[in-house]
Amino acid sequence: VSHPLLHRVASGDSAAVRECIDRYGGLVWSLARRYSGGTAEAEDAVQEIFLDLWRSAARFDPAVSSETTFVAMIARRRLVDQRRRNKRAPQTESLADTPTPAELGAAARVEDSAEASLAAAALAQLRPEQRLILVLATCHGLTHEEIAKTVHMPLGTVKAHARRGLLRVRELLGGTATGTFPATMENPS
Amino acid sequence: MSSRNRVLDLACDRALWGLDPAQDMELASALPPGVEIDPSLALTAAAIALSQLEIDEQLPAHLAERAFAAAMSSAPARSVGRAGTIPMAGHPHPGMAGRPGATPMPASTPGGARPSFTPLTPLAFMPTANDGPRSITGAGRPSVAPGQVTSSSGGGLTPKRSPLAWMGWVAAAACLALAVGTYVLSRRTIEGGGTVAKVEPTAAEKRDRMIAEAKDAVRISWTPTEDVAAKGSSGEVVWSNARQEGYMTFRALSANDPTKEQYQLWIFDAERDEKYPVDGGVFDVGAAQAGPGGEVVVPIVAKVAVKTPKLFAVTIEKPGGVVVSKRERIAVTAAVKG
Repeated sequence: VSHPLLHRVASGDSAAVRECIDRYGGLVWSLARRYSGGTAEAEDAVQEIFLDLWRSAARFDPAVSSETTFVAMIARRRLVDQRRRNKRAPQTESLADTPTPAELGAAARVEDSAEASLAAAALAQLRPEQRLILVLATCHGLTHEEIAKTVHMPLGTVKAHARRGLLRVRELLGGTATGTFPATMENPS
Repeated sequence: MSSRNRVLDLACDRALWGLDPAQDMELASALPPGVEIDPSLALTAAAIALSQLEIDEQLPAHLAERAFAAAMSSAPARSVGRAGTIPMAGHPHPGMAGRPGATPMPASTPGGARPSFTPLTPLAFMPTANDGPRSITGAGRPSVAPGQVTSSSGGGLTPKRSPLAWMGWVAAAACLALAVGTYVLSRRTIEGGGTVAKVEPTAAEKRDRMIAEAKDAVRISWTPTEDVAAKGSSGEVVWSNARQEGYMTFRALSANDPTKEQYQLWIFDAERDEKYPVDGGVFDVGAAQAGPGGEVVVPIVAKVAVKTPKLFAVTIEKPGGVVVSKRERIAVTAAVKG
């Protein structure tokens, strides 16, 4: 029986810590680079994310989500916190690198996360503007104000699209056997 | 707006963008006593991010070491885990002895006590069905057929690139409609098909076709190392930069036990830091393809675009492969001349 890697981390298994860094380092770094205002900020964020991950590892529940999604959740939480603290715009890629609605959902980038694949499929069912706003917020770390400027929509419309889209994706994920996110799970923060 | 809707709005905003202190307080006070904030929205936001994230860079080594040191500095000084124990200060971890770049344990705290690395909740190991196909640990990963390349471990976080550029809302919407239409049509074709049995060419056939068609294809012979798995083996690697396609041919390479180790290809690109060669995928060599007279052709599955390949190297790694190889066992190499 193999125990989840994060549980081994929580139990203080140093090899598991090393494995965890090997496995999720690229994911954490990629997210940090997108959310942060520069390399130094991204490096600080990575440190904070892993510290949070070590502290939160015991809370990982494989019945609720995949490890990858759990790690991404922790990473996003720290990055969002950091952004609010620094109040700085992330070093966003140019819009030439921003995925168009047509590209979104074409393929899951992180193949071993069940939820990621399901989320890609769920995104494909959303209206294009909802999809774009959600991706700009979650993957590129843009604030609602930045998104409003980017997509030329009023702030209220951006928020409404984002909220509806997020709830719809959750609904679609919750309707599957492998992607259930029970609403009763304890808040990990 | 109803109180429930307001709570839902705040919960969504919290998951997507975080809340300011006033909003945080508003949300907390709106929740009934004893009710926690539902994390499913944060998990959904994370899943959306993952579904579109391109992991095109590995974590720099110095950050990896710093993260490891942070974990170790807050770890309990007790024997845990099947892979080893966390050493007391001054007692090197057996698994880390001699490891290049291994981080030394930080000094003990002034009082001699180590800061506690306390799990926030008691551990309850609950192996479930989710440990199977959803598991991203090496264990439970189905082994590959000999010669078949799979994405390597590190959770199988496959780097991909979005090649298309921003085309504006109208064009994007048109593309989406086209993409959906194409998808529906292809689904219908697949689901309603079955009358045409297309035979997939073998890797050897694909290799031969590529050699015939790709004008820029380079062929380089493998140089075996002294590693027991490769000694006496031969073969070549064929690569087309224009097509980003390549094949490896091995003769007399030793068979591997996929439950213990797998071969993994690395492509060193002159335009990338040589610490981070491109992962070319893991593969197996079956008993029938190994030893004298045996031959296997393996397609190369580069995880990111290779711009200027200068060296191909095959290492032997744990099942599923690794994100960063320690290069402890190198089986064969092929250097691109010029």
